[in-house]
Amino acid sequence: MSYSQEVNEPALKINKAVQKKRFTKKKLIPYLFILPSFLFIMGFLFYPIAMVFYYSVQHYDISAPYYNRFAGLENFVQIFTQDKLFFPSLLNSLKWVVSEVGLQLVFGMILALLLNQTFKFRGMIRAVAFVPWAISGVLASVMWSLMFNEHMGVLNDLLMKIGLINEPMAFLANTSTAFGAVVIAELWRGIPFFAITLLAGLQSIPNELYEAARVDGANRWKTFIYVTLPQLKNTIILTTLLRVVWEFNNVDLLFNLTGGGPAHSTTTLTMYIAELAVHGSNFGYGSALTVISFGILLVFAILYLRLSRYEKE
Amino acid sequence: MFGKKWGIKWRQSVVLGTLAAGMVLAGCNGEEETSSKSSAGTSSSGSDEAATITFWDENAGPQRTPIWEELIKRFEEENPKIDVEYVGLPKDSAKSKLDAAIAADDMPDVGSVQTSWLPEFSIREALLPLDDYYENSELNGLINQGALDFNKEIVQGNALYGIPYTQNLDVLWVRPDWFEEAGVKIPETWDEFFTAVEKMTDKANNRYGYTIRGGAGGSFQLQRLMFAYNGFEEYVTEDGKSTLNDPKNVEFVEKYLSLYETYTPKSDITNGYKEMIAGFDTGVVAMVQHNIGSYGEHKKALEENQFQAIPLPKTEDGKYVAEGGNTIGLSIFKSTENPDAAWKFVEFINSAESQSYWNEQVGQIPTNADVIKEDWIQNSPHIQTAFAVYDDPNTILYKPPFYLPDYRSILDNLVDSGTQAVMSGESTAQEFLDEWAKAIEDSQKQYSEHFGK
Repeated sequence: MSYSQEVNEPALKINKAVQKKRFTKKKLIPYLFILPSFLFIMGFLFYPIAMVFYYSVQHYDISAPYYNRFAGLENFVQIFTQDKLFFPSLLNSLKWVVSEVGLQLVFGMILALLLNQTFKFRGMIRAVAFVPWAISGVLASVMWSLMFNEHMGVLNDLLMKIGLINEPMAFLANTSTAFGAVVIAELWRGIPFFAITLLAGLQSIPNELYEAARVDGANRWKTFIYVTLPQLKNTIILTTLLRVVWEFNNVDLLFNLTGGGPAHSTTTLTMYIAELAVHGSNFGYGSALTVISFGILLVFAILYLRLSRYEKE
Repeated sequence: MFGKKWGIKWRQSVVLGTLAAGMVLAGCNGEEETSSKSSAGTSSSGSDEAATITFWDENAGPQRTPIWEELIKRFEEENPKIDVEYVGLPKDSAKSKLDAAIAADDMPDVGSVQTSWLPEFSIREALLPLDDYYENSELNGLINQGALDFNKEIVQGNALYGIPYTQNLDVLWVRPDWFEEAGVKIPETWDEFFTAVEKMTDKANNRYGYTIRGGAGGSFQLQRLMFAYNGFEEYVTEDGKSTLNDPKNVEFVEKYLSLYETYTPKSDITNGYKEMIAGFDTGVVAMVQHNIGSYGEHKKALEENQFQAIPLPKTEDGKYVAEGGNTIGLSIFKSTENPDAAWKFVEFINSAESQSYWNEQVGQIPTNADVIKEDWIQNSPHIQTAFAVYDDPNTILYKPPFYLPDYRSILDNLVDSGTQAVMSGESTAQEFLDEWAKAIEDSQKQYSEHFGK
């Protein structure tokens, strides 16, 4: 209200036409300023998203355009009734997201608490601790595939020296170990993200709270439970939400380390979509699967924010 | 409490949630537009005028790219007015890049196209028929007629869409020195093969009789071995049934995949081309199935007397079997603005001199009759092995259904992982082959309904 009053007061002295013109111009200018961003967002975010919804109700395969046609809900019906890979890959996604986000949060928290202490070379050690986050997915995959290697991998060497195994294991080539192996690799890469954000959160907690807790006689554990955790609540909610979405969509390590195999034991829903769309060029069916994952994440995100009472005391 | 404030909070959650979930959609849409580098074609079609043509290689890499660059250099020296732009596509993604280019109507002028892609590309009307060009060319009569006929036979309308410049054959690469040392016969039949795999395994010394390609591309290996074993000519019968789950194939797959772990390395289940060849070239396995095209790599890693190409074992009634259409050719894409210049390039690559250069470097079979007489062919034992198979009148050439648009994706997505499921004991050979056969039959049914064929 105050904005329009300010604008209109001097205008009262000039005639109505000019006043109106100026008024519209003034009103328009802010919109013109946001127009470029608006167009970019429309063009690069909403248009592709809308196209995914459009293709999900089409049979659209670029390698067989002669079969392309409107499909209605056929793709969805097929996914839920005939697709043998949909539910197993969804289950893999669930396992992947829960284990990754859960473990990354716990280890990230431990790392952040350690790095928040005062000690010698703290700056340097902080920098080193964040290195995995800066390493590209492809590079990390190469490193881990070498470490997991059956013939020359350092892991086999160590495990054999300790005496835990008698002969080398092909970690990534065994249906019972492949998933766990990739989880460990991704965990290594994901911990620093939580550590960074939680460390930032820790540093913004006022020292007075800790002092008050000490005066009240709280020990370290109680301080953590009653001061640190509640103060970090919003950071934790937001980082876990972001991480859930990222991990759900994450394919780089899976793609490079196992390619979804062996025998689909590491095929997550996103990996399955990538296979279908990239290798199979079946964009219609892939889009339908994508719409379903969108729905899953949407419902999850809303419920998570509601139930966790984000930004509420 | 469920008043306005609650509503605003609820809406905030919805907006935040939508944004978060939206990332999945925005992320998914990236691949569609990957490849297409624009096809050049700057001037008019007359062959005497300056023209730029784009050439896409479907198997670029440190081995083949320099060969193409050399040939293009020679071509440009001979035709100073034609400029050839080389675009190298990695083998694994070449097909999807061409698919995208065709869908976007942004194709190259000339492409190196695998014969198995021709039916699909021709149905999509992406290629220029080359019958007239070939008839009036000096190449007429020189290129392997069988290969040309095959190319025509598999496409709708029976036009000539690709001039094959190289031919390949699946073989077994074996270590003759180890066989001799162990006193084991180099296998000619399937029984001998299975015995040799067993006898050549010496786990204590980290030696295995064989290596299975369980990872990417493993489906092709399995398919070719299955047909070499069963001797079938048909992949899909007249009535639309597939021969894939025939009891003979079940018997073979059971026997063959049970070699895994007992006589082959454990990591075989995820073996791609590189790992499989590395197993042979580093002296871990005694036999590996691949084609004569890996000659160059064995030559680099091993001594002359340490590797030898032998035909795949014969069927029970003593016949060789090979997959038809194991050639790669040059095709001209319909959208070209310089068809004459493009043809000149196709003609040049298929000339005796260029074909000889290309095939000698790669170690494959040329299709130009003038090259066959050259010394290097006569002195290449692996190419002689291939001739022994192709020239044998009893050799069976079976035809996979290249025309089915999802033939390739069935192999990549269903068969590769199905093989792994059998290897890891999660599924039986029968279940796996039934599933494969059903996928092919469904695809055949859809194709027949659409094209009435």
